[in-house]
Amino acid sequence: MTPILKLALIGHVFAGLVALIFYYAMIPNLIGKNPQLNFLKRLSLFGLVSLLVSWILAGYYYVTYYGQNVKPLIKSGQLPWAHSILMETKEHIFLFLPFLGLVLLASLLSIKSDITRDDNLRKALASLAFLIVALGTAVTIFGVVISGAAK
Amino acid sequence: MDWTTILKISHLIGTVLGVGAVSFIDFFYLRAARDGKIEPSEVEPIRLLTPFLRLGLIILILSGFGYFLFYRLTGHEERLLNPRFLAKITVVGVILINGLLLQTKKIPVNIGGPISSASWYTAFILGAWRALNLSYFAIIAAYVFVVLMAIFTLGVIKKLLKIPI
Amino acid sequence: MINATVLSAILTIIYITVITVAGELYPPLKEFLAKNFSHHWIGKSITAILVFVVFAGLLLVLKPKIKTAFLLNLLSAISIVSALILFSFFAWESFR
Repeated sequence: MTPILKLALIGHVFAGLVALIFYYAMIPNLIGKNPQLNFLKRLSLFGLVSLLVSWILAGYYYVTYYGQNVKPLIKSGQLPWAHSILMETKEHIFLFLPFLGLVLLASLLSIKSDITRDDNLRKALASLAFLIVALGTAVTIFGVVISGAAK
Repeated sequence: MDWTTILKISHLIGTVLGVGAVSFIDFFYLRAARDGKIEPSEVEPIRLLTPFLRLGLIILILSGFGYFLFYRLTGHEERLLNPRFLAKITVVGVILINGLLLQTKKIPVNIGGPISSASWYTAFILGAWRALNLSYFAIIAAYVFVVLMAIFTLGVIKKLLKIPI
Repeated sequence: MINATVLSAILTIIYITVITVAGELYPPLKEFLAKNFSHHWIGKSITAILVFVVFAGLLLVLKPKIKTAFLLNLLSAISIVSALILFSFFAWESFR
């Protein structure tokens, strides 16, 4: 693996984790009594940027290295389903995340009414943030198992 | 300083902050709840310690994945499927979900508090007990038992100290 | 603007799910993406962005009057269902 590929592998994991930390931090703020809109906007923006960075780095690694070097190892190993189920699911579910992140950011930027008064909207936004964390966590765990199977 | 040392130090700092903070939060909570009502001034130490708990968790997660990547890049991929490692990830997951439930007041402190403490100490022990050779399910079963014992123990302590809340 | 973005995201996620399953069941579609975008995954990424942008543009003009909270919850629901469809599909494909 070249240094750039190593950087792409490491970078996509950390960028993804950082994104999840930002979205996780949004949830109690959205559900709490005093949601801080500016703080939420910043978290949402940083979360989206981290997701986009992860998307690019993961894509580079996946397209240039994984298919030819890692996939055959997994498919001929003890856990071939780590590729055929987990990796296939992961690489497509991941595509949802940037759009979900963009919706969250756009929603927070566009809010005109007082967010503290609109319970339904706050809960819906919190659910979306939670969904990003849940899907992101699934993608991360799948990644751990896939890497573990690459021997 | 090589990468294993850097990862070890980071991971230990995260553990120390997290386990330390949760231990003192538990102490200050019991102390505050002793007389049946929790004054704002009694909540202050808990409020001050909470950022350390969060920081510890973030450092732990990032350094934990640092380990994962280190194993991946040095030909030790099989360690990623080690039952102890997977159980630790599960326990950290519980800490995160429990944290959210506590912060959003969807779970009472009498339940969420012991879950938090038991989980932090379990993660700490799983990290330190390298010779542990059990299946993932056996470790998780033991962890669930520890959590239930923690909830039970808190109940007993509150009864013995006559803490009404 | 929010409603246009949310609805576009819903349609994009449905598109990603459909194109993924269709590409597995009809290999020439996957090959088409690979041929035109150098890799099928890059093709799905780029076309998903295009789908999002096109629908967002259209819906910004149409200005759908639906409660935002409802649309956000619908987006969450469709994302969960789509994720489960993808997982189930690949599990089924793996074991057949």
